[in-house]
Amino acid sequence: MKKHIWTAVFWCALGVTALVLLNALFMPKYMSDIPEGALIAEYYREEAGHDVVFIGDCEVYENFSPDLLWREYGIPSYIRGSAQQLIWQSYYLMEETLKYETPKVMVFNVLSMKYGEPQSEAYNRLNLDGMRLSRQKLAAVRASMTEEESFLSYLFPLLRYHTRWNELSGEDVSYLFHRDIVSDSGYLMNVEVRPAENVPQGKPLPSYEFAPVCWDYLDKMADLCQSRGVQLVLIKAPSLYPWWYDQWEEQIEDYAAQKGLPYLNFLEYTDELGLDFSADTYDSGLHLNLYGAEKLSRWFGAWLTEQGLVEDRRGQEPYTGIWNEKSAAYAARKERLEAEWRRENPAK
Amino acid sequence: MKRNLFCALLALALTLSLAACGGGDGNRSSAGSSTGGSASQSNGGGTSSSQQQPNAGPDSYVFQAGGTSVSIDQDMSEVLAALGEPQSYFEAESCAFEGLDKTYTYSGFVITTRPDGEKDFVNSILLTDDSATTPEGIYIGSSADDIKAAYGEGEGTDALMTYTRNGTALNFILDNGKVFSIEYLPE
Amino acid sequence: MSFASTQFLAFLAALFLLYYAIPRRHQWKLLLAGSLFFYWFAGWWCLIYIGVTALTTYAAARKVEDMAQAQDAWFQVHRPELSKEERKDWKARAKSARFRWVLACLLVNFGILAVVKYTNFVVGNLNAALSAFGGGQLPGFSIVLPMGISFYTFQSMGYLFDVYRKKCPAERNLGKFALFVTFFPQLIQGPISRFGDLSATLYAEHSWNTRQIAMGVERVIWGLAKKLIIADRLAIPLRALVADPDRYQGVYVLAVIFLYAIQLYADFTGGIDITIGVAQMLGVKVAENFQRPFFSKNVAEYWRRWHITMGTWFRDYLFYPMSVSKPILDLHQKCRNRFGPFGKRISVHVCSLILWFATGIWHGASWNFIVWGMLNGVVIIISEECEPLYTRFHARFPRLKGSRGWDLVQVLRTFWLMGAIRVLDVYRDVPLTFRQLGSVVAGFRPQVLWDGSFLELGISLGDWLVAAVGALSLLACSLLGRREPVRERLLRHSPHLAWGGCLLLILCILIFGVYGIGFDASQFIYNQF
Repeated sequence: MKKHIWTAVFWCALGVTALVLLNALFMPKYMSDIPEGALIAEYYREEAGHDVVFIGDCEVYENFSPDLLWREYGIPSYIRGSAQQLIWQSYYLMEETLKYETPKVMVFNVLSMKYGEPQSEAYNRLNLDGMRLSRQKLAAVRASMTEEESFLSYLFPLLRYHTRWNELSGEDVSYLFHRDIVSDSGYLMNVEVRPAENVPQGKPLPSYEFAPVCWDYLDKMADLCQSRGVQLVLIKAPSLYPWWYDQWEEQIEDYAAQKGLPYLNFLEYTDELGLDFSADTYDSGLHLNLYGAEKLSRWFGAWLTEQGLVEDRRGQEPYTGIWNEKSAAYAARKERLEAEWRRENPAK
Repeated sequence: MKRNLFCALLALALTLSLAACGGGDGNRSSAGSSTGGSASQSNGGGTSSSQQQPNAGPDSYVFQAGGTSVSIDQDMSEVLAALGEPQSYFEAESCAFEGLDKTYTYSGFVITTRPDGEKDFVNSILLTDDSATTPEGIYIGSSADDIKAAYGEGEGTDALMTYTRNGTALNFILDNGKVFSIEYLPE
Repeated sequence: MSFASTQFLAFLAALFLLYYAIPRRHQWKLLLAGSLFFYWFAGWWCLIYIGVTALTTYAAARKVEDMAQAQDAWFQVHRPELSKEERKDWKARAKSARFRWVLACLLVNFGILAVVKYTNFVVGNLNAALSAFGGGQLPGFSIVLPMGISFYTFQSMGYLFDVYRKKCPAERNLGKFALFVTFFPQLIQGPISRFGDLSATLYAEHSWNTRQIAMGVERVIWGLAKKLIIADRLAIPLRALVADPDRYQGVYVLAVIFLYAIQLYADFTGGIDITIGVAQMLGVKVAENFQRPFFSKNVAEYWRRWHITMGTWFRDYLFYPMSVSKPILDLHQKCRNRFGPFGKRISVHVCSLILWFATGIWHGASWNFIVWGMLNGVVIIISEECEPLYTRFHARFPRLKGSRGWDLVQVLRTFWLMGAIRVLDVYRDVPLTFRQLGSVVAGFRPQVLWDGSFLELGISLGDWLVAAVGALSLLACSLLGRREPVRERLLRHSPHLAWGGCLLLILCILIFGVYGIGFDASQFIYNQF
């Protein structure tokens, strides 16, 4: 009898180990391809807190440079951005971030107000898989799932990614238990230049009202930040596309005024920022490149400082040590990417 | 007795989890295969459940531009061959994933495409001014009554009238009873 | 709940643990509650249908048994007073009095089945006929088929016949009888159990039996593997092949025959493995439904080994009673007088054809299934009529019979013949099926087998390999398990082998199973990851 029990225990343990290993093996690694997928998890490797945390979609992680905010203003910041991050995902990320730290300012990009329902499984995965298991993650999964998705597969990603058996590569083995850092404090650097031309106007919509659920989450963000003594700043990044409608702008302006929140629509400040859409974007106006992001960050850092929302922490430990390292990595990445871009486009 | 209690508790937990994870995996997993010998439901195994058609049905709403018809889900290369180069062209890379959503602007209408494999397929046709009309004679500035005369009673509200046929939706957005936007979209 | 869903696994696990936790005398009540829950999950309105069947059959069977007992008692007392003629006459009258109740119950239940399953088919055909004569159109009905109605109706009616023929006692406890009708593992796809077989273990008290439970769990895993790895994977290219019959002709039709045979086998036997395994975990013994059918040497044998419980149902409750019914006996007499020895067989063939018509239409309300059934009957009749030819053939080549090579030829012939008939399942209508089968000869282009065309059917080369390895493993297990099931062998060698095999199988299901969003039919081909 005893022997039987030990046999069972042995094989069950072996089974659990195999499952854990397989989960790790089948999970997409996002190292050489789709680095956006690695962003959310990188936050947990941060060693010190931040005064400013950006939350939102690609309009934050492509458009702001935390490194510049540090170098020029001494602001330690981080971007918790991910591709097509929906507003409920933003909210729960905000909640989760507040478990680890209490920044002075949280910045939210309002473009995702336009999405009132779950959009696509692929983006959900990029946003949610990286989150550590927590109450917030489960709530975010529930809010985000499209009809055909299963909750269980977020707890056991093997149930989702088992179809990758066909396409496993060396990367999946070499990154079984660790990942490289793909971003600079959440910023995904891009140095390419593709001028914005022929950006189409937004097409007429039958209704310009944001969905009630989006307003709910925006309210929750405002309340959460208020209760934790964090200043919430609403922004609209200066991306020319997707189109930002005047009718949307009005609603956000009214909301910000009513809640007493600062709201910066950078589309209206492009001249002040010094943005040149023939040189400062890498994909014809959707996202800024490094040079555009630095211009935007320079202006925003000055604004944050002027408003008295942050202090200059240069010279303070542990920030200085950490950020010196980060800056070196940033500079190295910049140099490498610029060299690559020049090699591929010698004319430019 | 202890074992019984343990079993009962476990059962309770499982029952709760059952309620919690509705919409579990594998729901659709049998991929349309029936039980064969029991094949009582419609047909058996591989069955005739129709695959997603690459093109919208033959009977769907089709836009006409200078004798060329453009329909939703049509291969964009065919459209380009017939209409020639657009007045302006814009491409938007989707965040994170490969593939470009492309926008082709012609005089009077705009076509957008979505990538699928190597090819691009028409994903929307938007009429932008009254130089373009639908084959049924509606243009920007027509009235709601004109639409009803041309298309019959549709679905929708005073602000948005929608007509769907075989995979294509034809949307009219109205303001004060006048059309100010006409768009063909996948249903 | 599909067997291959997380809901079902959670439901099963909860039920299983409770089953062995509660006092044993309540176990069958738990099974009933679980079965009703399972059925309710498919739609509460389904419970009405199955409830009507359970109640009417229960009442009719009791009535029939009560009458039989009363009749017997009366007969014992009055027997001496009756002449031989009178006794015979009385017995016939008593029997027909009982049969009236059986008939009423049959009419109600087959009536329900006919209405929900066949109304639209009949209306559709009538409309086609009407329009041919320029007539009007009848409206169709939209009735959703209650889950498993063909199975539980047949199982209940079989029971009623058995009680009527005094083969088994009527169940006096309504709850227990309801459990017999609704027992959840066999609700979706059978087997069609006999009351005498199932009741012995269904109502019994079961204590924990590790070996039985382990065997049951193993069988469930095996069934899931068949379904999720092989059947559901092959369903993808099959759907593509069938959806565009104009494009996929010739060799592709051979591929449909071959793939559909494997797909259906894996799907159906996989489901039955799960059914039997689940029942075994609960201590209940459900009859086997398959016996390596693809090793059959002729069509009649195939039908003794494929979907066995359905075949025996039709044999026992339709074919035998029909063969001894008055019209058939009259026909037999007439034909014998008129056509001699061949005439003697005519009545049997008529019964066969009726049997196969019924079998066909039982499978589904469409001409495809009717033609499919009739073809099976015709093939069997032809092979019976050709018996003398075979005898002469074998007399000429005596060494052929019983040789391995000849066996193989027969097995392959039966496999392809049944496969060709079976594709009536998958094509849209009967003419199309025959056109497709005809194209095998007319448009034979074997090069599509190796020019990569099969990689454009929705699954990759790797998937084809997985399916092939899976199918070969099935074949290997069938061959190895002829004398003793493979898992028994493993267990006999070492418990570690059995455990290891199970774990391996579970991991294979998790990795290679066709489930989840990555395999969403439309998504599959354009998967983004």
